[in-house]
Amino acid sequence: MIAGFLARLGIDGTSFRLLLGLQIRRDFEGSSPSTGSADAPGPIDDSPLLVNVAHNLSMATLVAYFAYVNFEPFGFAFVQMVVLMVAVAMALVAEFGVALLDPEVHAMLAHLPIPSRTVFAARAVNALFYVAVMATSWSLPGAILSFRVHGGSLVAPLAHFVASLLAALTSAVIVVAGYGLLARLVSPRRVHDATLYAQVLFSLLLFLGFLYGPSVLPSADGFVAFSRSPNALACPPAWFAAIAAGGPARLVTIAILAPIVGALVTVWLAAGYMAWLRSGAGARRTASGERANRGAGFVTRLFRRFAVREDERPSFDFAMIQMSRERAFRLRVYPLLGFPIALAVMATSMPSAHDRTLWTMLLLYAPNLYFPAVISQLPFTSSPDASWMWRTAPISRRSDVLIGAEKAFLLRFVASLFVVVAIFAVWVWGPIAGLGNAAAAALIACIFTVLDFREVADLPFTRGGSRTFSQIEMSHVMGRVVVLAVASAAQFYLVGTAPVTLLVLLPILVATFLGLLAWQRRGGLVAGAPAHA
Amino acid sequence: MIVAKELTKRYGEITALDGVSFEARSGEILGYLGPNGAGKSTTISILTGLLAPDSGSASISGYDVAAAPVEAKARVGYVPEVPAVYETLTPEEFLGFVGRIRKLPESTIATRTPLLLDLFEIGDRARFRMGGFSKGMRQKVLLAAALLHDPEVLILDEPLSGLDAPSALLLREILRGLRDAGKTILYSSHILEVVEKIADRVVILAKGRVVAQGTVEELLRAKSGEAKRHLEDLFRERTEIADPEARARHFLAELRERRSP
Repeated sequence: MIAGFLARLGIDGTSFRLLLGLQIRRDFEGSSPSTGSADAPGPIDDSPLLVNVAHNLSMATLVAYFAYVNFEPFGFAFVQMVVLMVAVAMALVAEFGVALLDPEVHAMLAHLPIPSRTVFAARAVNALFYVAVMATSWSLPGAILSFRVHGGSLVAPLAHFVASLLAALTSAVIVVAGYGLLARLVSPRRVHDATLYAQVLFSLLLFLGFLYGPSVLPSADGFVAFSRSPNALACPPAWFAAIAAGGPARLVTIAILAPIVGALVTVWLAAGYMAWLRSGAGARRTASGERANRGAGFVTRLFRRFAVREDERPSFDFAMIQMSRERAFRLRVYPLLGFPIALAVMATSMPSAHDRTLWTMLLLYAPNLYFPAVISQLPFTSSPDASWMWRTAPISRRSDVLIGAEKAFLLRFVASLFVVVAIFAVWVWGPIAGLGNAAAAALIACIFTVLDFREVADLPFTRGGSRTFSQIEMSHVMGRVVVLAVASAAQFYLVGTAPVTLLVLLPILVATFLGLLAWQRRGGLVAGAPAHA
Repeated sequence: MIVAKELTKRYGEITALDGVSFEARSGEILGYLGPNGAGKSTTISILTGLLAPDSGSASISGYDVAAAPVEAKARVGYVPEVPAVYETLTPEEFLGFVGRIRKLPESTIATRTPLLLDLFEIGDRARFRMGGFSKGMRQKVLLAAALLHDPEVLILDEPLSGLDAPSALLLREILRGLRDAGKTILYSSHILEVVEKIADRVVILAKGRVVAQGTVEELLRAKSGEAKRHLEDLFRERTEIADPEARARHFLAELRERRSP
């Protein structure tokens, strides 16, 4: 029956089943190691679905409990729908290949006698499966608790689950439609690059939403009034919360229509993208993708000349290039740039000097919270097979390689970010306090960077797959939040009240940083034991 | 000089190498032959330090690959079977990286890089990213990288893969010149005709064991006292490959039979 239905849609049932099975298997198993040997193990499995499910369940439990304790039924459902929709969107925004068929995957399939509609259908159903699994893992704790929230109603868990599924689906179709639209607006050949900028914009909006949203949302007991207000019509999580919590009928209607309309728009937009792939432009992308190299800039050459030792230069040069060109790295890291931009926007929008100060301090110290996520992506590459060139190279000191990459990171991310941040701080606080606090914060970021490189067990850009941010050790981040809050408050007070303290503070920080570098150079802070790579 | 002594490597139940021993001397091109799965790539992985043997030892110019990996690796130029490169790099950047990691002076890198890229006729692409390069162009970059530090030992795994005819002829002449200059060259390939023409000696591997080694002339007259016509005949015999012509005939007959109503 299913085969007949698929045939009527122009889909080859056998190919559809095989493709879908293959994709789902990949979702569960992750990509298999493509390189590696006894003395240099291959890549780890990259974010297998079950790990994500377990992580989602734990986070969803926390969110559901928080909402259960703090809000009445509509607020309880609303908070969870917000988190679910953002989680689904974030997951798909980072995974172009899940959201739309990657031109490289298409190149592998194009020569096979499979109708393109079948490929698209398998891709779409795989994405649906992925979204359904995410929605289920995110909604389970909420569905269980909704039984109590709604006074023992057996319908409530089911309604919560259905609402979660529709919310996740809507979130997914919005992202996929966004990709489809992007592919239409810009040259499809440039869609990957455009995706990067779209992701930065998306993360900026997301961070702004997180930072600014709570101030516009109703109070804990004001959600019922909010659900009846016109504002709720413009707030997608409210639509689905209405299903889960028995809200106004107009919101329920929108909630049911939203994924259907979204899916139709998505199919229309994605069809254009598929037509572009079928036209062969995707295959030509590789041949025309060569671009002339631009040499290193003046600052890089200067830094390289005076701050990078000869033994560190191969990995410094390599990491500098890869950090700006490696697509997998950029896709996962660049969206984080939305965070400091959002903080700067928040700081400028604050009416009082006290609040501006608070947000600017956050801007100065927040890099210590997201740099670990950037550093954790350094070992991963989309060309793991090329890592043989590291493993056959006569590297006598592994620490040289890591310090070279670390210096590239310090220049590319820490220095460039803090130059901009310092200008901003000067604008907010004036030259002495602005430059003083920015310099101290930059040095603290340098110190944390050296410490974070302890966790980098592999050489830069040598492993396949990736680590999703959900898999990153959060203990680093959570632990340092407290330390940074106390340290930054003390530092701001000292620099603000007695600028002369800079004369003491900065040399201490410089000495600490250089001391750690020296220790690292002797192998004291380097993860993994092997003497050679 | 390359010395492999009783190399053994197992992957679970499968024995990839079973006591493989051979030598490649200075001023010699050693052809390394064997059917798929014979253990050629495993041997090369051990020699280049990519893999550790379960037992036995390998040395490069007197340096044990396991005990002194840095010294051994410093003396090797290697071209892998699959021309895997970082597609984001340009040939110039790639050779710069290879040169620096091998501690060549910047001036040497600066002079040899264009020389080698021009030699392989990719000088005009020196500043283009390798993502758009064909397999043959990537292979040329890897050959240039392997020669950059003027190594004592060259380990080449299917070096002609993807190369056009003029480049293949050029490489052959370069290898002969390097051999005459005293370099040691291990040349692993499936193309028997090329190995027969270029190699001074050959090692034939089958099912993880050395089944024949010696000069081409020695091996070809070993069986019956009179020279055989081609290395291919010896290869078939030693590696116990079933008669390929008969197998092909059988397959085509089967195909015809199934097609007929």
